[in-house]
Amino acid sequence: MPEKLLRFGGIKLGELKMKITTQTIASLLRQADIEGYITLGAPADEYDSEAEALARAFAELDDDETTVENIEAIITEAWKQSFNLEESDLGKRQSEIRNFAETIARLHSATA
Amino acid sequence: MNIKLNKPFAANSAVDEFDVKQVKKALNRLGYYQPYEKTGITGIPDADVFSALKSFQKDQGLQATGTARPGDETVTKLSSEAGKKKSGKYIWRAVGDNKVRDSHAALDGTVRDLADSPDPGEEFNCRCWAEPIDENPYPDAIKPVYPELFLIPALRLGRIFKILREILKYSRKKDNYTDHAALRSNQRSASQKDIEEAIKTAKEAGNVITKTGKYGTPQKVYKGSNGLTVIEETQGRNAGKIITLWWN
Repeated sequence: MPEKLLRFGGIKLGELKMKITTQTIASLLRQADIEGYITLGAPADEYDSEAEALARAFAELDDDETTVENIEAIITEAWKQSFNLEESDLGKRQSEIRNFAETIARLHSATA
Repeated sequence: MNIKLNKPFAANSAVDEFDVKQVKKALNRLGYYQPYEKTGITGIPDADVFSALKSFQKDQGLQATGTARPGDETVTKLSSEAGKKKSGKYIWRAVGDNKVRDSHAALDGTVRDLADSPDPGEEFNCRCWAEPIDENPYPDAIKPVYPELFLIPALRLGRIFKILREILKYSRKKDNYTDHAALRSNQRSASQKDIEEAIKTAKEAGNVITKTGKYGTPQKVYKGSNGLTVIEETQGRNAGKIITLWWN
């Protein structure tokens, strides 16, 4: 059976291609502080829910799908949902989201 | 359909919002692009539109780069193909929020002919789209086809987005909280009563600070005497909503 078919039933940890951990993503999100909440005084675990969601989503990507564009699209979608943002809000965050996506992509290629 | 790009159209460049809408509408009409149903056709350059453009270019015998430049062969071909009168039917889809004009809300879910006017997305600021009806999804049924061939990036990303939404959605306090804030209040064990108490005591003690958020949105910071800090946005999409909170 082709390897990809095995993925139809859902996520199988043994098959994940992108291995950046939730903790790493959480740490990077903390540094990026895209919403500025940590600067306001929020605790360090402020973006942990988003980190968990992103880690799960990134784990779905195959190696050839792990592009900055795909990662950026996933982060944008997560942000839109979590922070209830519309197009103009996302536009203001675009460069930070892009930078974050580039960091993740670099990290992925370094660990792949 | 006459598409005129203002800027180069590529995933790695700063694209023009109107260009994105034009390309999405054309690719949607041609059956290559389906938007996220909660937003409809927008000017956000999501990964799907570049993948869809690549598929279109491939089918048209063009170099499949997923990019285009003002007036290039891809734009010319996209304009001419999307402008052709075609036979066939589609389902009109609208976003479903209160911004949809009444006439388009009435069309939502209706089966239309490709020759009918207006087209979804044709009228000013319209976010509607056409959902194709595949009358004969398996025209080459005898030919063996591996299901993974259907896993085009657009569908894969759609599935991934669904996973994201399931993880991040927290509907219990949706009206007055962003999903982020609702999750934080749950994980930080701050009850509705705690939050109300924090806001009330902060107001009484004059511990309400007005700040400007990172992107220029005014926010109120309530420092409650119960030790809970609550942040509320006062303008924009999240006006009146709690955006985060924490125990000091």
